[in-house]
Amino acid sequence: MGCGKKTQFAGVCSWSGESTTVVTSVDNMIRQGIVRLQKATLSDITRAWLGIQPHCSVWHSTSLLSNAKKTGHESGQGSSSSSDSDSDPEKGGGGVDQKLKEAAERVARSVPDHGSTVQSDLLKQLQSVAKLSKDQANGTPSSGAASSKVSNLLSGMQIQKPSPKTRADDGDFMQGQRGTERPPRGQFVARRPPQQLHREKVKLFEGAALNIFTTTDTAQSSDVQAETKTVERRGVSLWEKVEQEQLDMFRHVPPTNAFEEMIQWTKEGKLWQFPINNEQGLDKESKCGFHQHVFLEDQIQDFPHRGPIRHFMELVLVGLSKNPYLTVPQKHEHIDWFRQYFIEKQDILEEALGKDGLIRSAEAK
Amino acid sequence: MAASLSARPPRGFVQFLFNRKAFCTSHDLQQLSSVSASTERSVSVNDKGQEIVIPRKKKRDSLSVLRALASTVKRDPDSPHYKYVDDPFLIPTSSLAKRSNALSRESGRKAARYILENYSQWFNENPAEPPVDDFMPPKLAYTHTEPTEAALIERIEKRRVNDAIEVYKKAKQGNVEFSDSTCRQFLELLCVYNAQDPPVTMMPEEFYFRKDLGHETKRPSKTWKDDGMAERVFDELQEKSIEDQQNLIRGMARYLQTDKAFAMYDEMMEKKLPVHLLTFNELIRVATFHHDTYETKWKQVESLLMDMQLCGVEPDLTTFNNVLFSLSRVPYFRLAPSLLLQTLNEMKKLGIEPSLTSWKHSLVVYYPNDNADSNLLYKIMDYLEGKELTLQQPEDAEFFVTAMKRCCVNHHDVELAFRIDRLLNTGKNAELIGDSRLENMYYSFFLRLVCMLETMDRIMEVYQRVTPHLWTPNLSVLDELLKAVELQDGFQYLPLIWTDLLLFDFQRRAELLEKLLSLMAKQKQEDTLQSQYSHIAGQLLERFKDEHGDQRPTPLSTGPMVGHLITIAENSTDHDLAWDVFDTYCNNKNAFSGPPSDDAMKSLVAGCLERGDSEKAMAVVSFMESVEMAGTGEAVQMILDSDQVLLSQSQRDMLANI
Repeated sequence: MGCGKKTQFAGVCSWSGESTTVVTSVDNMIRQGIVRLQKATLSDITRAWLGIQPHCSVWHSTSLLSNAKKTGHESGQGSSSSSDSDSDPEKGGGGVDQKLKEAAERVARSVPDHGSTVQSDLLKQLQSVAKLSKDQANGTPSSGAASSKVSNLLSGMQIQKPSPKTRADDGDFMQGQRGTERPPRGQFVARRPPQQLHREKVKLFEGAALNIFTTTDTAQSSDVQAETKTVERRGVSLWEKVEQEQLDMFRHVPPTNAFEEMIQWTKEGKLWQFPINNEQGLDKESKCGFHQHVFLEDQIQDFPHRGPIRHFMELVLVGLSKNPYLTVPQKHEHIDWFRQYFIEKQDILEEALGKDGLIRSAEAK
Repeated sequence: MAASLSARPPRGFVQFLFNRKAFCTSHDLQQLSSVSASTERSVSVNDKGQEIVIPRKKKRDSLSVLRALASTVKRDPDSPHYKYVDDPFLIPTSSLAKRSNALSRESGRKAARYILENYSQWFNENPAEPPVDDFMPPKLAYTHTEPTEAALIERIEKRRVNDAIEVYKKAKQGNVEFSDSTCRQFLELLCVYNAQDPPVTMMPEEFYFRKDLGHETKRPSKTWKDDGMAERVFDELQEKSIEDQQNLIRGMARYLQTDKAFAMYDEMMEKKLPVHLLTFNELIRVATFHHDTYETKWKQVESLLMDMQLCGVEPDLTTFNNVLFSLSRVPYFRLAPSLLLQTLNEMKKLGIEPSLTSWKHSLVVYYPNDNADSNLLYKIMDYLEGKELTLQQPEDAEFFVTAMKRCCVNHHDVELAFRIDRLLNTGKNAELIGDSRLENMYYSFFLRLVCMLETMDRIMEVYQRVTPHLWTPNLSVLDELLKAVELQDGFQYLPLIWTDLLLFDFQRRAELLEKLLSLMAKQKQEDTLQSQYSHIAGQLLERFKDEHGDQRPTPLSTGPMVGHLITIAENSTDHDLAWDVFDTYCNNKNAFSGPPSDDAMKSLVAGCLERGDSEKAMAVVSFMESVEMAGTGEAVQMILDSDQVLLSQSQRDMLANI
């Protein structure tokens, strides 16, 4: 069967008029098609495939069959009427009735381009359906191939819908409000009028469920859940992040009073947090105890123990310990600078002060 | 005061401490201490031998004080929304003004952001301590610029898809090898965004008005790039892990390349690979786009659910909402309603609470068109009555509009409409109204129904609660309102409606104004009301003279309006005003379309005759004759019959000629 048939039937279905675009009638068509196939008469088959109405003028309106000659058309119609009398469902195993075969040939002839494929396809289908109907008449379970072929055939058909209609939302909402006052737009005319639908009394949460999922015991399920979550969630995936961000967009509400505005600013970090903490934001600083700021003597352990340098450095430390504006690392850096400076000037200092000038002397000892 | 400081219900003991009442008796103390529920408490015994229980200190975060204060402020229907608060003259009341106001404020913020990004060299010094990150220019530049793996990772992290693709292509040209994990991350990025840059995030107000600005897409359509970057990268992976396949399936499903997505999914199922919940969710959502008939569509959804069960994947709310979405796309399927109920039961069985999205989809299935009849909406309202709802999915916001629409169009039930409105106003549910267009539709349906079916007082109650600050009405609502006024003799409300017309900037809508004036002119009202009407008439005339002189469009623009003004003026025995109107009309005939009505002219003539002013009466009648009004003869007769006026012979001759 394959693609040739598929495209052919695509063409066929598309000129079955506007009515088939409404899906229920297509649904019906397919159901009727299946039923009729089981009767296995050519007339029924062609009618089902060509769109139900036996007298449809479909022969005229498509490029595929536009070259159908009048004779072919008439004979086709003639054959369909004559084969009405052949409504004999039993076609024998594998063999198809002669008249049906001839009718198939005539159909194939009337189709200008794809004649041979049409004929072989029709005959193949007739055979399989014949077999299927025979099986079912006998009550034997039919092989999956035959019945599934039918549904495959029909499921493979593409139903052509017209070009998308009006914009969904506005059209629906607007039409609702005006009711019958507004003259229908062009596209609306093609649709059938909204039908009166009575859905029976509804009782929420009563009655059958889908029964696809089963609730396992709570202990088991929580274990399994925990496991699966740890295994699969090695960090939130990009999908979830993106969805969460989108949801936040939808959840954002403009503030309705000044307090909410302040809440928003606090979240963005623009406002002091209440109750006011003077040290907000100074996290590193809060981790250093005051002793690190004040008791800096161990920083000058490698300086000489006596002499002008020591004196000088002690004064530096006193100054630093009183300085509230520098962080602890900054104070250490300050001291380090002096260390480097004195190391550079080591030669001069050693000349002038002897041991009191050397920085490394304490370590060497 | 203490009650407002603590956002949560106060523990008995704390409230006692802060209340400036007299000390409680010991009896009360014991009662209070039994209320607090914390387990570890320090218990001490006071000198009277009673237990004093000190509850644990509550952890408050940085926002609790503000939240507590915010909870004391409720929405005042008589004041504008916070974002519009300004000088009273500048507060917007018409819908266009509101939109421009909000968007212009936001465009200012956007401009500030733009400057911060593009002229960042001027903003690097930030003297704030602690530093505020939001005020610092964002770091947009890349640190890695050559096509290396680090560069690719950087771009993936920043979600710059186009740049990442460029780097990838250049690297491939230069034969740089990428590690597997990088390739995987890249594939994930491509699948999430369909190999194009993520859409620019809109600012909040822009997002709120996005449909009015035309930013929202309408129909879902297949946008997946076949043989695009994502598929290429996938093919180039040596080892296609489960994650990779799933990423590709999800990407294809999301952008509606359903054939390939389902093909890959079937492959995975055949190989018995574990499939993740997210993949299932995406596939269920697009199942209806894949097949052609109702039966097969549902079969696909069902088979996916059964596969989930087989794989042991637990469904969640999104799964079921997607199932309901698929059902809502086939509302005419004969099994859809029963399947919907079954799905809801399944959710209940598994302990998943249906969200507003589920209810919205249920409504779509049960009310596929405007004539459907069902009691589902009532059941849903029964279920949701009084609940505090939260937004769990973007589609939750569409629930209220759908519910109100179905209530108004299918049921025509005012009580139900009020119930829905009450649900909207409980707690913080008002946040779920969605964006501006959904809000408009909601209130439009609500008010129109109320105008059609309620008594005048009730209508005005609702109308005044909702407008102008909660929502600005549109033309159709005002139309219905005027109809209701006409039907129910609500003439005392017409001045209010007139001021509202000015507020909403509808005064130049000719049909609306004409209708309003015709109602005012319909019958003579009692004195105060009539004097209000004539005041309005005078205002309109003043405006006309002002604005017409300046060549600006003015409300008073049609002949019938002029006629109504004349009638109103005559009814309030303000003949001067009536004559003034007529005079202005005659002098500016080309500014008005259509002639005044007969009755108006006749009442003018009657007024002239009462004053004994024959000249004016003649003028009016000659005007009527020139326009060939039907009532000319009667007017002439009126003049001839009247005994208040003495006509000269020339006048009589003129009248005889008419």
